[in-house]
Amino acid sequence: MASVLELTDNFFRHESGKVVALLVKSLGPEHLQLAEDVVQEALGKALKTWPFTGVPENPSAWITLTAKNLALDALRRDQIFRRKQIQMFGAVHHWSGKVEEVELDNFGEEVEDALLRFMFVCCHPEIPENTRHVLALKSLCGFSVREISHALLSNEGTIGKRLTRAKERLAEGDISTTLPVGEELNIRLDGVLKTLYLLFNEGYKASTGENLIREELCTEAIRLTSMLARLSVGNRPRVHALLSLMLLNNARLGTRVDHEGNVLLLKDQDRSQWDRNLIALGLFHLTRSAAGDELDTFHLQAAIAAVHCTSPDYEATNWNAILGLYDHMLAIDPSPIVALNRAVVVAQLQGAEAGITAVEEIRGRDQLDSYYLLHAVLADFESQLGRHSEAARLTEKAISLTDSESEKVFLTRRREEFQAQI
Amino acid sequence: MAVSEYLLLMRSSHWGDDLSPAELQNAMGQFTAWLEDLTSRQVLRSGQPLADDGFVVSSRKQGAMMDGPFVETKEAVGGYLIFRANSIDQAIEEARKCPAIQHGLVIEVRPIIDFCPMMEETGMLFANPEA
Repeated sequence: MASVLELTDNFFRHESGKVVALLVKSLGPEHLQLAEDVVQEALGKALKTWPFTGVPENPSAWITLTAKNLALDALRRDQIFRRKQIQMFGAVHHWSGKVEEVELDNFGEEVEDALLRFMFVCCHPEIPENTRHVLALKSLCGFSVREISHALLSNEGTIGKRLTRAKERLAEGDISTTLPVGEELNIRLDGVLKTLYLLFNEGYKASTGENLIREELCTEAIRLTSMLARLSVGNRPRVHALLSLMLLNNARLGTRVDHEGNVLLLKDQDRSQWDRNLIALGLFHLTRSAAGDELDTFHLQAAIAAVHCTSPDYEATNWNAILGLYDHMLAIDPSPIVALNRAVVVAQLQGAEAGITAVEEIRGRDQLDSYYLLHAVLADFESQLGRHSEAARLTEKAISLTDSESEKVFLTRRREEFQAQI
Repeated sequence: MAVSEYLLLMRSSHWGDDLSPAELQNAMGQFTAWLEDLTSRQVLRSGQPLADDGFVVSSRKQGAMMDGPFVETKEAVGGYLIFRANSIDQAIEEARKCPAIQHGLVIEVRPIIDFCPMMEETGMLFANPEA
């Protein structure tokens, strides 16, 4: 018997997601709360026995069967069991063996199928967009409300309310775990990808090392997207593109801050510390994303990340290629934020004056007035043109518009640099 | 100083219920490390978790048995440990270091009464585990 100290990191958390998904597949999404409760209870039983007995030979099956039995007990106590006895019997019948009889290979496939179905439930059109990734984090990834609110920089009350409403919606019973087909699959898959992208971005945008749980969001998004890309339902160019952009950006995650936790710009990052394995994997999926004639913003974002990741140093960056990719992206997604990023590239190629012009030409520019990066970018341009007091003023404005502590520290340092040059 | 044995009753089988899966795994690791350390120092002689079900046998209601589970009550015993220690203070000190306490576990430390020398002389060693 192995000691519990030998269990892999995140074992319980990942098991929790798996078993909830298996139970939801058998019992229906209307029993999500029950599924979560019995999984928590099963993990509690492991907590109280494994330190004495050691880890069972197949800990995964142990937790699954314990939770399943608890669920059946609960349903038997409930009248629902009588009503649904016939359907339920069919669904859980094949689990009723002993732990040793659960074959690991088949079990693995069954788990993946259940996780996939559950992913589509969490991202169902009937679940509000601002709740889908929260539901995925809670039920699919096994985070607690406290951990989620911490990771999303929100509060427990807000997160808890969203989850309660989502579960109430699922309890109505008309959302099924059946995977959509044809055009509906295409549409629903977009919802899933959008959620995974949001999950990744939430983790990426402000993780500073002091908040490790945010980095876990990136890892979770990659884990789920990898699984999706492996399965026939998700083996599509745009899924590979999304996975590629996650991997390529994640390769740089650890180098985005210095030893004191200060934000480092791309040009100041230590490229020797970028994760070569993740870059290679990211490029592999970028290649796979090129199959067929699908092209969306995931492809372009991945391609931009690839240009950066394969450039030996900042000076050698192929800005022309990046500008072309941004032009493409603007054609697909004419958002002012994309245009702002494009303006930075224009400045790299043609100087700060051209950058300022590009910002002025952004369609819907006024939407960016409260976006701190607009002012930070303009400040950079102004300082390059020697107008340091204007740069300091714009940086001050940017500081007042961001909530991120690490961004505030970074911008304050910039402002002091500008002021010193006045 | 004479070495004695102590029974530690682990009360509140609901400890750890409000932890997230990651925190549960972490707590399980800490609890295991605590047990392993006690074993290596030969303080922990034995110990087992208890199943949730069971029966209470008593004379009340004409000998009717009350059946479990008893885990719903806060005081329910979820397991036991046997310590060997120099004094109850030492046993308490070891119990205090149990990492599960901060997650709601309550430990009751009870000295196990030593053999009565008089009984020993009469040869009635019916309960000596080391005989």
